[in-house]
Amino acid sequence: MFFLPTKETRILCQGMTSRTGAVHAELALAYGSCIVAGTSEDKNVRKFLGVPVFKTVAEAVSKTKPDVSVIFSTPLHALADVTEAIRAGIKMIVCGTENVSMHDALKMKALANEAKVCLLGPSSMGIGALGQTIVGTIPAQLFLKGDIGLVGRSSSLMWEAARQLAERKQGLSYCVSLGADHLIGTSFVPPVKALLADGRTQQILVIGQVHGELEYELADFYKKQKDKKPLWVYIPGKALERSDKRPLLGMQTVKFADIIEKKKQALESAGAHWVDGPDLFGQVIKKGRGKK
Amino acid sequence: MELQEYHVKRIFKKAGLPVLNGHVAYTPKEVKEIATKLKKGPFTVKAQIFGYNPCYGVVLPLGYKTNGCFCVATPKEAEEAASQLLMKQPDWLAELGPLVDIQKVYVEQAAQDFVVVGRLIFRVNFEKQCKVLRVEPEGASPVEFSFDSEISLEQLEKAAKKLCAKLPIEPKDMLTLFEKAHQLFEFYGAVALELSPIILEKGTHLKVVDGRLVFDPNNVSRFPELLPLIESRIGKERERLARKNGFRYVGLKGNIACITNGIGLGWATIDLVQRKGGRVAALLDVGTEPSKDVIVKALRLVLSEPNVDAILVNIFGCITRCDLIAEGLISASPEMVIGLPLVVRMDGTNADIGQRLLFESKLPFIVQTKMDEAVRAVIKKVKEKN
Repeated sequence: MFFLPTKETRILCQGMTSRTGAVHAELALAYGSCIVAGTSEDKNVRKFLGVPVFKTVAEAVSKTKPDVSVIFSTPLHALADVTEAIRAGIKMIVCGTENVSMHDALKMKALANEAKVCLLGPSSMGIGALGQTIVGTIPAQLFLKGDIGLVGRSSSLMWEAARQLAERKQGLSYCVSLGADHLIGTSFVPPVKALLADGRTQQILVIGQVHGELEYELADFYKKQKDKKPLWVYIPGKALERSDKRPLLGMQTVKFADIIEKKKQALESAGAHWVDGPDLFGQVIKKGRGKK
Repeated sequence: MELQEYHVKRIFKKAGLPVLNGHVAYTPKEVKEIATKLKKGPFTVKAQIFGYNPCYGVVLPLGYKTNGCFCVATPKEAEEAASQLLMKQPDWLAELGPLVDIQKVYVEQAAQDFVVVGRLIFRVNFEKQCKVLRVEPEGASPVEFSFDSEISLEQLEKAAKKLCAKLPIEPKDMLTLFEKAHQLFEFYGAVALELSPIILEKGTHLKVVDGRLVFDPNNVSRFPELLPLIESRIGKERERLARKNGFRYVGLKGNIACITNGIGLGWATIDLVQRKGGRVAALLDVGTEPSKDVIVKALRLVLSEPNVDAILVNIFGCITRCDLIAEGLISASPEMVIGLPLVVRMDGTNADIGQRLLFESKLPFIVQTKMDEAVRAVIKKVKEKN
């Protein structure tokens, strides 16, 4: 099950001594994250950045009882690492690896579903609880603390949004990155549900994506909520299109603007608000304060 | 990412899928020899082009002669067909991009005395986030079976039965074909595998006339032997070059080249440029951890687009350190961007250091901290220029 982490959330860092693993573990520790254990490809490492490093996830779990695991592995090893974490009994996993193959991603999803594990990613930057902890690679130190819950696919655009909000003295309560890959473990609904129930969060901003149908799932879910906190959505890519030469059919062109318009309609009819451009996060969301 | 027809058929054959007899040939003479060896005609002769099979999924009737595909009766005619195709640049290729010569043809014994059974497709469905097995029986409505990672034997059996409902063959023969196709799909971690169409020859033998195998770019490194054979599509040179360097690239028709880190930020940048009245020439996403020389390569690539009047670099540093981006821009700029306005927007990790470096370089960078101001600045520059 998805949960919002706190200062006390115990984090395991798989692949802690890898280049990216080390950078992010250090940033997270500086922010105050409670990293209780790490694992490393180098089986001789016993301690890294003051954190005990174990040979296997199972050993780390039995000795340090982590609540969540953050995985920094290479694309070809991500599946094995996620599998190891699931088998060891971890209940929430952030897989930060980018460029995981589709079959591997589907396999991870299937394993996680079966074991009732919440898998964020692949390509997720994790969860940041502002002022408390970073589970993953959220650059929370760049953002302000506040009452907006941010959930999104593309992380670079999430940071942009958070920054624009900060310029207007608006801060985040939580920041949840789902990953921009086609195939991801967790959709918008679990984090949005958690944010709707969270006392600190007053508004929610969602950064969607042209590809996939997760925004429709979110619209269905949001429509059914009685006590709605304002939900804002932006999806980039209006100016683009995709063309494909198909045998026998000739050139097929899909305009992303049409897909976005459909998603917009679904979300608006569910009661969500639309953000029309990537420069407007600060403006509209301020206006929308308290709007139901 | 796809292979040419003859590679696909080679893989099918190795996996035990019943393809028609055939070989690739490079000269008309070879074509004649192959056809003679195949003995019984008619023969099909098809142009082999990267990423495009012009008469895909069709069983060619004798006398067929369109878009690089021929179906002829004798080895002599096969040779003539090949000489019409080889080393030529036909018109119908033009719409695919820059013209290329046809260098190979595939010669195959044409199917005879057959009925079309239908099509079999395994693919990853991004929208529904699952795998799909789709069967399209000829003359009946298609059926889809979705599965999240592994297909059950039960589903395979059901699907196989759908395809041989009215045929005088054992369902288990069809099941064998399905199993082999499924193994291949899983083995390569393919995005799609199609057998299209499957026919029943002489009332007894199942044969696969054509097929596609679409590879997952993130999985092909597991099959180094395939790498030299794989091409995405002809005509998109910059995209290919970009991928080689680990960039994502979208070529568009405007005059402002954009370099960003992160595709979401990139698309948003395009949205904003277009909304403010500018037109984007290309978007290049350098990824999350670009180094100094990566920026140099990125600049070089976008500048190879014709009609670039200005460049907009929009970086939000998280893992990316803005000071490194700045160093890359400084080392690349004197040689490349002479006369072109270069607007740099930087925010995030070490943005202050990066901006200071840009100022101190005395190079004509236009430095901004906010995205909308950067977009406004680049559009203004383009308007001044034209």
